[in-house]
Amino acid sequence: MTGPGWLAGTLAAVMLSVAAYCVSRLICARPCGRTTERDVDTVHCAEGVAMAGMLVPSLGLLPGVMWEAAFAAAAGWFASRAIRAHRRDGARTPPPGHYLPHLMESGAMLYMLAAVPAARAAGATAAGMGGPGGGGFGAGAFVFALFPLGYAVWTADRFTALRAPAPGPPVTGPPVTGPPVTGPPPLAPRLADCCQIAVSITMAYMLITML
Amino acid sequence: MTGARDVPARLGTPDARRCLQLALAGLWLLDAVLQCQAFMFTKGFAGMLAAAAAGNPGWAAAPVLWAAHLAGRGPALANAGFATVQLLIALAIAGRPTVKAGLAASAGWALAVWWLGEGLGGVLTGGASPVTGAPGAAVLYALLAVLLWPEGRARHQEPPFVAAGSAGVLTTRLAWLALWGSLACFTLAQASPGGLRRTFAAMASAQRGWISAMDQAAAGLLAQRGAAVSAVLAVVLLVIAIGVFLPGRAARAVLVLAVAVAALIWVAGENFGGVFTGSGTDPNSGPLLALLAAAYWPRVAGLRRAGDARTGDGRAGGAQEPVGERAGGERPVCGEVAS
Repeated sequence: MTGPGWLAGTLAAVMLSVAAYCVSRLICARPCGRTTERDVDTVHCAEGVAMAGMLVPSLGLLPGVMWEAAFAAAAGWFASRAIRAHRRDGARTPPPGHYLPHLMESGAMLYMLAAVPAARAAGATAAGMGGPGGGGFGAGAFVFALFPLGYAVWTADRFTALRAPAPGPPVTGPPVTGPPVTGPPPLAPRLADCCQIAVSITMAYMLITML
Repeated sequence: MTGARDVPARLGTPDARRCLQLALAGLWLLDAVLQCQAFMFTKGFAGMLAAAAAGNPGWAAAPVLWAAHLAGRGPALANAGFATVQLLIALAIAGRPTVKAGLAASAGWALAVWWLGEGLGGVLTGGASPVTGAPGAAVLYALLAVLLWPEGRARHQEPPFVAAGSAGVLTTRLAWLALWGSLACFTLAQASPGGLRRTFAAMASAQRGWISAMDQAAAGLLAQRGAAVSAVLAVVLLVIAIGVFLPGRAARAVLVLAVAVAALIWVAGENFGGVFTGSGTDPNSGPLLALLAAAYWPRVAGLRRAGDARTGDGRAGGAQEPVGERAGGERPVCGEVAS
């Protein structure tokens, strides 16, 4: 990454916190009688640790090729879940679009892992010349950056829409409607969405610094 | 994880106004991330701000130079502040309870940036051209914040397009006319045989790779044809300016043309807002012009009413159902408006 060190350090700390929180969700959900999406928690944990390692190289735990294998597997998993959901099209299963953001995020992680070594070299060259610019990865990084930004905004809208209904009509947008949710309640949904927003914005930042 | 992702079926699809608000929030978030590029934390950013003062009259240039001086004294701190403000605006607009605060902050901050960061978009310098981003992206953020302001209460009659919901049909159409009409005037003011060629040649030197090659090709193509191309572009911009006063389907055609022109300006003229140079602070005016066009897109219900009126089936006197009280409480959603 070619951004300032203090910013990279701060974001790395946030990502490690997200990873730790996701581990705690995986451990605590069942004993607390709550539900959680284990695959999403797992991939967010991996993303948090991997991004922290890319932001601050000294935090890198695993070689890049192992992370690439992990995120390729994650992309395959979410693609298969999206396809299965599309085929089932059941009322109780999440729609195929539910898995696409995680598929895209896994793809973005693969892109970054492939690009980071070259981006570091190019960033060092640019810094040495005293000019602007990062890795010069251009259109690919920009397109991959737009997606997490859009998803962060979407998540922020959705989770604020989940608030308890107000007595009057909503200021904007439709009311929260639909069938009641059965089964155990989700574990700390708003905190989970905050983690999602943090992961998305950090991912977009890392991709933008590769431009 | 759970939360919003686990219960999409329980949430209704956001209506058209909300979709446009979210798009605006997305642009602010992109701005915040672009503001965090390495170059922005250096004194180079202050120099970029100071450059916006060039050509402006003294009263307009002095605050720009003051802001640049201030940013130059502590570039890292100033830039971190700018990025934080943009991030908070984005999140405020994206959050439903805070959307009004976010839009108000968006308008205020954007107007400040328009003056202090963009030198009023260069409109007073005599060198403003829509091809390079005039009248400035920031003023378009402010305009969008006003046009996308939430409707306070259910109306008896649905406005013909989203932007009309907050400020009224005539006012918003006049705003569109003023914006696109001014773009046409700027284009005509810059018309000269070699004007566009020089513009593209200058941009090519600041870009790299395929974008630079594209600019050079455009400069070669426009050699000695600059005046004619500018005249044609001015006519197209004028057609777009008056297009929102046309009936539904004609207005749609003109808005499609507006989106196409915005895309052309963004790609060929603005080089994607310079985001690939490492020093672009926003995607420039192209995406915002397209977003504005979406805010003026005639609603399906509005078109239906117009068709009914022509065939004599219309309920004269506006006996339509109030918004939000249609069967099932449905509201027009993104897909309906875009259809």
